Amino acid sequence: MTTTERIAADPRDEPSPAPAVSPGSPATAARRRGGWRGPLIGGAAVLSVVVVLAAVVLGTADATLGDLLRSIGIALTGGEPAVADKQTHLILLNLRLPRVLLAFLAGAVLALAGAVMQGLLRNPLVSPDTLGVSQAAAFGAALSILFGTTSLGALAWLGTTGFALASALACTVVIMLLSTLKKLAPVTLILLGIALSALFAAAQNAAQFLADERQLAAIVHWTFGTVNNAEWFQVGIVGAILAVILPFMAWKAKDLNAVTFAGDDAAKSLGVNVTALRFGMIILAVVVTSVVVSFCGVIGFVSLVGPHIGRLVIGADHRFLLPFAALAGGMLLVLSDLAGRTIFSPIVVPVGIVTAVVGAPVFVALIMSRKAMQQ
Amino acid sequence: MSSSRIRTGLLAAGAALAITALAGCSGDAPATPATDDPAGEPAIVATDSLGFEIALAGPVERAVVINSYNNELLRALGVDDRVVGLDQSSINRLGYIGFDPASTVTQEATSDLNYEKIISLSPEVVILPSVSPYEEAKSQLERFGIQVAVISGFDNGALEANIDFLGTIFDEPEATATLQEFRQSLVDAVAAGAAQAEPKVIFFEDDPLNTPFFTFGPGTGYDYSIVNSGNINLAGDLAATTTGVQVDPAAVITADPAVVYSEVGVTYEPSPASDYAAVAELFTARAGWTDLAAVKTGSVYLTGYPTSTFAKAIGSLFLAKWANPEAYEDLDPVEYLDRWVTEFQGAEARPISDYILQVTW
Repeated sequence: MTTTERIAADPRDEPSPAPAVSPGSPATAARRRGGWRGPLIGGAAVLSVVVVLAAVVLGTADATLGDLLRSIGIALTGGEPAVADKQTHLILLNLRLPRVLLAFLAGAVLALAGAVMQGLLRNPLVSPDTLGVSQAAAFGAALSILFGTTSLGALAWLGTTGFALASALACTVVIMLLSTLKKLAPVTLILLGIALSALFAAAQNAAQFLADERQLAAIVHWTFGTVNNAEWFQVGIVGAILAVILPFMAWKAKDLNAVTFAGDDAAKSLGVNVTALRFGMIILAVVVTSVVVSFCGVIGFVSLVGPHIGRLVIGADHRFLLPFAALAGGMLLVLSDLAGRTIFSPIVVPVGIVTAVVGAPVFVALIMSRKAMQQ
Repeated sequence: MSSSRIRTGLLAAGAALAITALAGCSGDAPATPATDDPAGEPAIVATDSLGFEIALAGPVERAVVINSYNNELLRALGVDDRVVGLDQSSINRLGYIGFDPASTVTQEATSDLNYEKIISLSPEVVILPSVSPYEEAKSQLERFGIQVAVISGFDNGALEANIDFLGTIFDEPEATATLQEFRQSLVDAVAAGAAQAEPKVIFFEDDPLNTPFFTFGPGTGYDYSIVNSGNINLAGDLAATTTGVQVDPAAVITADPAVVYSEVGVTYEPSPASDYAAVAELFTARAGWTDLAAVKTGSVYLTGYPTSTFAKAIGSLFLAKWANPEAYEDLDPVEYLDRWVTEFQGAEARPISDYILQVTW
């Protein structure tokens, strides 16, 4: 068995002893291929569909699954709804569906970004949040509000995304340069990320200080993190991002495994270009995070908790972890948004607040369960 | 499951996502504007505070109105019965109106709006202040034929224009004229004593207990209120921002304001006496304040609804009198406040002592 096969066959953080089966048995082959994980991912995908459908039909306006299917059918065929159903049709198609889909896709993208970062930096506490990327993107978006790009009508999103991306990339470049030049240990990297988070949080406060009344309200409102203004073009963009990065990351999953479980030196010996992989994947994670942040504001904990849920359920093999984490992150954000708009209905609690309230204790529980396992 | 199968599955999912996105793109319904007029011309056209045009086939009969100062104005125009949706903070601040709590669509002006609830109320227009997410509201609601107007009822500088706008879209010319006349009477009352009055420095502190020495500079409602009273805002030289700012406590000592005031709540229901006492205790404990002109003349006030209501326009009368009591000896701001409360808000006039505490050392 090669090193890669051994790593792929034993994806847990703390490898358990191999069961007593003969090396060439079907059971061994199935276990090596992670035969049970595929159906689990399939099950999670089915569950995701159920969660999304439930979230679409649940809300202030009454709707049924039949209404939803009818609306989608009308939209695809270019028909017109009956007069009595028109309002429900428009709500489902123009408000509810893009909102829920954006929440799912954004959650999936954030969780993927977190999983990749955690694997490459070999630290479960790493995420776009803890490396300061989310705060940097938020600062960029605040600047875009200050410079008035949000008043550019249909092109406003380009300005916000551009500023968010530029700021997040600047933060990432600083982190990666220092990491490379100073050969920072992963723990030191986290500390640097925390320092940069504080810097960009202070910069956001400075932006608020300089803002006028309207800009201030816009900046503060945006920092809550919300999908209340979901539009179809946002769904399209984030969906396209996910459709591209997920297969790409799945293709790189074995390399990720090598870096994560064997370390840089061993991975290099296996032919993995560790530097290019680390830089490229982290930059990719930063870019997709910035796009999500520019559309939805700051949504914390999903990129941290989603991958952890994935590891707990399906293990740390990135071939299976990445798609599962994406599904978990997507469902997490959909359910958080559903809670935010139904618990205190008609008051809408921004999803960023819900994920923080829910995510923090969940993360503490994950940390404690992890410590218990290690002990 | 092999990696290749996972990739295939993921690509299929990506395709499904693309189809769904396309479904959404094709599903955008054309707006059904409430302005459709068989004759082709809207009957009512008005421009809101940000220059957006509102065109209506007739007077507004159903409106969602966000922000208590906007709802105050509609009450004053006698059209509050046409408000079918509002924010929770309006209900909290204007308890005398008796809005139905079930008609809330958001918590307060800067919160996320519940668009589904708004749509279910079938308003012709949503009126919200500039601090609300109005751009988002426009993009979400106008495709349902619901127009969005930006009116900031708390904006003292735009009060006349705001009253005209609201009076126009609700088609209440007489009520508008009456309200404008009342607004003008406030301006005239201050002008009447201006010749004898001397501009004094006034310091407004927003929330002494939580954000001490936080005040407001030029372009804000509090600045307008002070300037319209014929006086000088201590923070009036601040050019860096038009929003709130924390000033150096030493700057207050140096400026030696003739009047210091703070609002302990802004609701019609007065804040508890304990809230006033807490702020008073804080003020009296501050180093250097015993030498302030405001303290020596007994011109440190804790107020609330009276100086806040009606875009702080009535507040200008109180400030004028507090700053120059001799020049405004015949001016009774309480008379104007009582008229506002009873005639324009249909509420019971409360004793002024319920709202205003003169802090003594």
